[in-house]
Amino acid sequence: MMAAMYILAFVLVCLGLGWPLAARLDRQGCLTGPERLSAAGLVGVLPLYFGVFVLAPLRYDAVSMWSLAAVAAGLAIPGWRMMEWGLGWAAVRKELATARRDPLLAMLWAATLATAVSALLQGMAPPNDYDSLMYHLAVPQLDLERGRVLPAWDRGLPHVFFPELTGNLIRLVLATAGETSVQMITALFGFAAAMGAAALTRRMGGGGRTVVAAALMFLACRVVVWEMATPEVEVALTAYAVLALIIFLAWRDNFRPGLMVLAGLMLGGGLLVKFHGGAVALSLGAPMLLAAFGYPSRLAHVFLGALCGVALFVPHALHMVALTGNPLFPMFNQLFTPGGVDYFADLRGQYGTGRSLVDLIAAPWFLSVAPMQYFDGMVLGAPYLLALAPLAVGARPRQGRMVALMCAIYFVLWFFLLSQQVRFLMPVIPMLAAFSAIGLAVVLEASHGWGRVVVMAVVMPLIIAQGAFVAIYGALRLPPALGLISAADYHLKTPTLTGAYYAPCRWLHANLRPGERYLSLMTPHSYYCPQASAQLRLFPDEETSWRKTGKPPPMPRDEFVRRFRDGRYRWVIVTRAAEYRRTVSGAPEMQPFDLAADRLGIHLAGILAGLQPVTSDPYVAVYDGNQVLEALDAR
Amino acid sequence: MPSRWLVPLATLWIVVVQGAYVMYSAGYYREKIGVFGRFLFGP
Repeated sequence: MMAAMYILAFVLVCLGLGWPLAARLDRQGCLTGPERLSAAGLVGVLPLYFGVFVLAPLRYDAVSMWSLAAVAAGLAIPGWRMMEWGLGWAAVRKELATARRDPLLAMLWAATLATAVSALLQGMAPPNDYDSLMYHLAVPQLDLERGRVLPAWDRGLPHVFFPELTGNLIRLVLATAGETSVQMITALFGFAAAMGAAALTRRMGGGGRTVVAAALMFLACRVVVWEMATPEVEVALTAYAVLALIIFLAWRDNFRPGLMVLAGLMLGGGLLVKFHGGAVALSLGAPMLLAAFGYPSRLAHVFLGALCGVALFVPHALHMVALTGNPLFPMFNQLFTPGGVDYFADLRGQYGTGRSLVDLIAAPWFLSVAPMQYFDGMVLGAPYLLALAPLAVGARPRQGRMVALMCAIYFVLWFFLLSQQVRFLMPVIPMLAAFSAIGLAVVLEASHGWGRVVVMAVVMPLIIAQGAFVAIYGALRLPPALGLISAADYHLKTPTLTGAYYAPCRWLHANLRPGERYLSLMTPHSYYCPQASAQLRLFPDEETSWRKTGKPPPMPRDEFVRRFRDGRYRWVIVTRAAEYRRTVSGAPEMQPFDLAADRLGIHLAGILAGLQPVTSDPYVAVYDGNQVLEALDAR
Repeated sequence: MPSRWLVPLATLWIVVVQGAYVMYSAGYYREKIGVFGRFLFGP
């Protein structure tokens, strides 16, 4: 209940902070109510991001973050007074009255709200996705334990230097409301993106049912359902992407400079969420330039918007320059650092069928119908976007070419320049949901009698299959979210990429006295384990080597033993096995972890084989550090 | 596109996409749901 209250307050503060600027930039009222509301919320999180950015390196704890929250709430009051509450309530009553007369619309609303509320509540479940345990949550938790936000060099992970809009929101929530509310923030971005999908469909000429169906098709996409209840960042980027597109389409109708500034802020916000926001900006930049071509004043608007977007990113870039010399660290490292390492070179070839033009054309097919084989898993669920979006051609939606152009450019950039993980396509899923809803609507309208029955019969399995995906996530995460099962049970029974290491980490929390340290050779080092007291694979004096070469220097045995003795590690935690799921069948396989292949692990592998762990789970084992040191000395 | 072609072509397209997905998923779910999967999709 407290988590829900906190989230409601969070929404109100963001809306209050963002509304005055959104209203000022849209003085002529070119945006609809839902569009302006979503834009206001997305603008409103920016002061919170910058507040944490400035404050947390000096002091990061409950006191500093509650102070920031109090100041933000105070600044939000003028926005609350400006907001058109009466108009909003009237629109809700009107929609309710329409839904009473239209059972299909009512069903669509019920399914949409159930999916959305379920995703919000699922956020209260204990975090268990790989990236969040590795850095989205682990690094803010490290900062909280240290009392300041400092560069987390010890992780040896380039990911921890990515832009941090959502990272700073996580920090704010973690220090004030705690873990239970953290993941719910992502659901709020999901709501903004779903409202964006609906608003986009309306702008493209969709009617009432089609608009709600588009929101549902976005929310029901498997990757959206999954990520909305995690601290993953693609959902937030998606919200910024679709709002930027909508505001651009509104600008294209009447060429008001304020709208382009707002679109620029959306693109800049997206870039602050994730570097893929740069690809989003390029994808939308082309239609923008196309619409402004030959009109100097419109080109000036586009330039102004781009300037505002870049301005949002400048503080983060300057911070990175100070740390690494590269404003975009860890990306484009070779450009800014002579001989700089490409941290993600290995990742680029991991997914997809290839990078030829034939692969480009075939990719939508394979990522929809055979995702486990070539890509990063069953990311979309049933292939309803592939089945329905092309049908929108029959409706010739308004502004459809511009929307399609943006999607196509993003897809090409994703295909050739980015890691081909299907979840990175999320920024265009609201657009595909809009096309899908419009496509389905036009086919249903064109069909009559038995024809309509046949269409419904072939569409129904898609609806049932996707509904099952949505329901499964609810069945997995709602019981722990609502306290019906314990976190320990949940982690024991719920699959995640390599395990959450919940029980061994809890054991470490219970058995590590203040001032004691431990050595962690876990892959990854889990959020659930103590953070600041852990010595990870990278020692403090090895940061420069990692930054320049992408790996720490060699570690001879004598030096390792010396460091181990000096570190006085009470416990040693190591990975034993990992689940591998990228098989043709998708069935998980347990693969033993080769500790001897690790720079530090090679000195421990033989020793640990002869020792009994003090606690373990299928993935990791904890050993007594004193016994390990004795064995090291005895060799 | 002539509207009289829209419905049959759309229906055919949806069936083709679903058919490919089901054929692929057969292998996937056979492993995921054990005995019932093997009963549905063959050993």
